[in-house]
Amino acid sequence: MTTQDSAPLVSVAGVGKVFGKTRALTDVSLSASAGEAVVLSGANGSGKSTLLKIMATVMSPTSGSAEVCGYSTVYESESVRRHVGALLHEPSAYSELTVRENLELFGKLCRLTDFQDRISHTVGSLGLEIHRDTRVRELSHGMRKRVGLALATLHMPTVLLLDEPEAGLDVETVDCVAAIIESVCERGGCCIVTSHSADFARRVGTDYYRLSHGRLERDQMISG
Amino acid sequence: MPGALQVLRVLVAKDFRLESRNRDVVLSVVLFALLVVALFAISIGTSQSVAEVAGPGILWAGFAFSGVIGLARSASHEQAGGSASLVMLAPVSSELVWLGKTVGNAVFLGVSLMAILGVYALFYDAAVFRWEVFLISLIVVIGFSGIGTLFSAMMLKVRARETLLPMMFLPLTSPLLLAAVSVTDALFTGQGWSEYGTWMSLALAFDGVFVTGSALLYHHALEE
Repeated sequence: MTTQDSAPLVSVAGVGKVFGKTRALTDVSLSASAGEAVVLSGANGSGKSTLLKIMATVMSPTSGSAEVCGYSTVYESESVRRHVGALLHEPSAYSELTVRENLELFGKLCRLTDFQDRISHTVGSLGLEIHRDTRVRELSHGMRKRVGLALATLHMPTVLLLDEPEAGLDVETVDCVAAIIESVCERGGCCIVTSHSADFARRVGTDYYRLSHGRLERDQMISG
Repeated sequence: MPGALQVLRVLVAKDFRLESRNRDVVLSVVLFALLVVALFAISIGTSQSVAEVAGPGILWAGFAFSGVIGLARSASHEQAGGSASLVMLAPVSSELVWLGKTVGNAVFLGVSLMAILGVYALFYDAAVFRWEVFLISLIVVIGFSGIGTLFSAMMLKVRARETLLPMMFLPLTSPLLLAAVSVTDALFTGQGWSEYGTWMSLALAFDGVFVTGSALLYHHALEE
């Protein structure tokens, strides 16, 4: 199955997720088309990160289905990951490797032929030049998050999934995150972003939802 | 296929680089195994009769317990900073990720086993450096690495993983260890293929079934 112009890039239908006796998501349906930046808000433990992990193929739903660019996140996860860039709650980089080594590793695993050029560009745009050869474990939380952003955007994904990307970052880097979201949407992709900040949500979002006890509803407070 | 081989090389190189930074897998395996062999040698002696009765048991018990420590250490590299995500978010099949980790673990365990065999030969004056010993060592190392890669990944998110890993892994691999002890016992006491051929075949069949199963089940272990 391949993407059609009119079809949504992300399509989540009736997704539920249960952890033991805890129901994290209940019958969640959501779609995002080209150019859209969907912002998910909600209290801690409301299921935002779980929903992103399902879209990123890191987790399988207990019920329902999710598709990214027309590919099932469960049965065609490798194809989904070609189109998805994700910054999840925990940094995804190897802490014992340097920033450059992590990016090279990811570039090679994505089989990018021009990964050196892309690394130079990404490292430059995220202000990581001076930390290029620093091990990730020696970086501050904010810098590690920048490395996570670099990894999420290195392969120029169609769909960008960001879990609280603005949390713990300085103003300059938050501007950078907003610019990344804008550029993905401008080139025909879409973004799904979770955030606790109403200001950040209004700044980057085109569509707003709230997760409450695992159920998704339109966020009237932000969208007005 | 060439693309898959290239990705495999990248994954194995990543493990070598991580090990070169820490050296904790090879060091922990070799030191623990040497301690076991040396303690037994000191407590029950190094005479020919002891070597015939208890030698193979000492050798493989030392390798088994130290191997579990090595596998746990190797898997912990994937956890530091939530780094399992970097490989999980790349468009690479879980079987290939498993193969990369298995090859890396096999090299580390193989190098460690060679060191243990050398020390064993020193204490017990046994003819360990012969092709039959290398063959059974290779079969055991492949089995340990393949199955151990699955089990150590399963344990990554478990709190009491240091306790649970040996409790689950060692009983499962006991047929392999039993075969290894029987083959080396037959070899050290000068018996022929007719005495140990069946054990060698059993070890090979065990690897065939369980290593293949580990590759196929690995994606479940990676999933959150």
